[in-house]
Order: sequence, then structure tokens, then C-alpha cells
Amino acid sequence: MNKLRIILDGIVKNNPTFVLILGMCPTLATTTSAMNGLSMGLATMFVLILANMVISLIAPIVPDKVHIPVYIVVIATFVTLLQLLLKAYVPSVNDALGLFIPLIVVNCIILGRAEGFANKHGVGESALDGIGIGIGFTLALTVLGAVREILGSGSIFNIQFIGEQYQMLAFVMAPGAFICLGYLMVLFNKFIKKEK
Amino acid sequence: MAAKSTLTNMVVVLTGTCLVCAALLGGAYVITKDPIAKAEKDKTVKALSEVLPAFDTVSDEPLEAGGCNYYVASKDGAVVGYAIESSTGGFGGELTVMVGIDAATGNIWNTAPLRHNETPGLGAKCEDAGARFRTQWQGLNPAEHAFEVKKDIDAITASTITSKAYTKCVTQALDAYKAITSVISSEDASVISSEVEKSMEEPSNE
Repeated sequence: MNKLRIILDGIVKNNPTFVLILGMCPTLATTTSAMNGLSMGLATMFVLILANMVISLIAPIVPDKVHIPVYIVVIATFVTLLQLLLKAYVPSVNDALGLFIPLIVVNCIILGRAEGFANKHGVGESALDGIGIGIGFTLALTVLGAVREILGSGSIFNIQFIGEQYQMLAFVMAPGAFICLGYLMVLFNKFIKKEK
Repeated sequence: MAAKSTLTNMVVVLTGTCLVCAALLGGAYVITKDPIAKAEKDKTVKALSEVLPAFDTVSDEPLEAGGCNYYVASKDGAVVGYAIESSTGGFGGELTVMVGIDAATGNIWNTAPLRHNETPGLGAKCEDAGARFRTQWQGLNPAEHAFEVKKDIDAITASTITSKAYTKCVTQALDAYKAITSVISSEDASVISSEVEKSMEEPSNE
């Protein structure tokens, strides 16, 4: 399989947020601003790439009946590692994402890619798939975060440009997340259909 | 693809994976332990310098009074202020506020949220040090004001619960301050000076 194709598939054809519709919980909850969306996306990408690589390596020796527990242990290890590193070196990111870092363990994107891709492919291809899906997820979260931040807080990446009286607070809260995600999904899928 | 499952290989693979992972995490924990402790401490030190009048020494370890942790800050050997940590349930989880009190007047010097899980864009605005919600506390005398939202305290727009929780933290801290000062006034002056010296000696360990 073409290497570039794997990465592009992760971003466009198999975009985890807009096409596969996986990992909705962190998508809706952490995208209150573009910066939070971007951090969450990058954190997930880190786990995704490493978990994909390790799982593709150990898949041939893992017995079928225990493959889910083994994968979960591998994923949980990387997530805990990530959390320790964030706490130690970038505590502000850890504070902003809070509970959603440990919850990456049960993010279905990661287990989904392990089951659906990594255990059937080699290390290199699995790493590329992790990068592609990771970029797709990060882009989706950043765009969603940016839209909500512009509408809800009148700023982008914490740079204020709309006055307080024109902000729509609803977009920072849960209802705004659903509305924005819905419209972005529509736009994304329309754009993809044109491509085909 | 995957190997055929037998009891032996299931046990071996699962145990092996867990062992390797545990070793990896143990190593990572040891490496990151000190930076994490330092990051936590930096946060406290930053909050202390925000909420207290200028000081040169501060008690290294928190002291305890009235259910709250507090720090004593002094300058040139004289106590200039107390910083009291107080927490209560906010909108999205526990909210911890540090309240600094000017020892000379007993007024609030400043307040700062230490840890919170408030909604970004709403309750999280309590982090904004320049905003009216934060500046309104400065210089208030606990005896002259009833700290209650909508009376003496203006709430953050659309974040009544956060504002009330923040106010409750400040009230708790002020109660703790009363407990601290009553202990000090009931003891004789020599005990106080030795306590102050003790609190000043501690940071010199670093």
C-alpha cells in the first residue's frame, strides 16, 4: 500500500471524527477552545502512534482470546506515561485537559485502529496509520475548537477580537458542541463526495 | 495473524505484557517524580506571590488551622501576611482558592484560584486576575462586609455557582484566619517570636 495514501486516508477518507465518528466524548468535551482541541489531538496522536507500533509488533504472538486485555494494557501504559510527562513538563496542558487524559485509554479510536489496522499490518505502516489518523483527529478537534471559540468567546488561540457583547456563550457549552459538530460533519462529507 | 489460544500461552503473554508495562511505568514514575513535585510547588509559590504583600521568607511547609492549610509570610523578621488555602465544591469539581491576608490590617490582600475544574469560558474566568471578579476582593475588610454574592460581591456573568463557591472559599479562609489569630493572641509574645523564627528557618534548608 502506498505510504502517502495511508496518511491521507487517515486525514480524509477515514477521518476519525467526521467519517468514522469515533471518540465523540473527548471531541465534544475538550473542544471549548482551539488550543484545548489541539492539545487533546496531539495527546491522542502520541498514544495512537506508539500503541499502533507496539501492537503491530506483538500481534503475531498474542493469543486470540486475550488480545483485548493485552491491547488495553499496552494503551493504558502509554496513556499513563503521557500523563506523567505532561504533569512534569507542561502542567498547564494537564490542567486544561484534566480527566480527559486518562480517558484516552478507552478512546475507541485507539482500540479501533489497533483492531482494525495495526494487528494486520507491519510496524511502519501502523506508525503511518497512527500519524494519519492522529493528524485527522487533531485537525478535526482544532477546527471544532476554533469555531466554538470564535462564536462563544470571540477569540482564536486566546487572542480576543470580538467584544464581550457579541459572544454567544452557548457555543462554549455542550449544546454548542453538538451544533458545531453537526454542521462541520455536513460540510466535511459534502466536500468528500465532490472528491469521489 | 493471531496465535492459537492455549492456557499456557495466554498466561505467559498476559503476564509478560503486564510485567514489561509495569517496569516501564515504574521507571517513568521515578524519572518524573521530582519535576512533578517541582511543578506543584511552583504553582503554590506563584499563588503566594500573587496574594501576599511583598515578603522575603515564607513557611516552607503549610501549617494547619480551622480545617485549612496556611502559609506565614514575613519580611525582615516581621510577619506581613497569611496565605490560606480553602476548598469547596465548585461547578465542575473541587475549587481551591488561596486567600492572602495582610497581617497589619487584617484586610484581604488578594485572592487566587489554585486548582479548579470550572467550565472554560464561563467559571474558568475566575482565573483572569485583571477581571472585576478578582480585583473586587482586594483591600476588603472581613469585619465590614458580608461576603455574599449579589450583596457585596459581584458574580461572574453566567457563572453564579462558581462565584458562590469562590465566595464560600474566601469565607472559610477568613474563618481559619480568625482561628489563627486567636491562637496567636492567647499565647505570650515570646512564643510568637520563636514561632516566627521557626517558620523563617525552614526555607533556608533549600
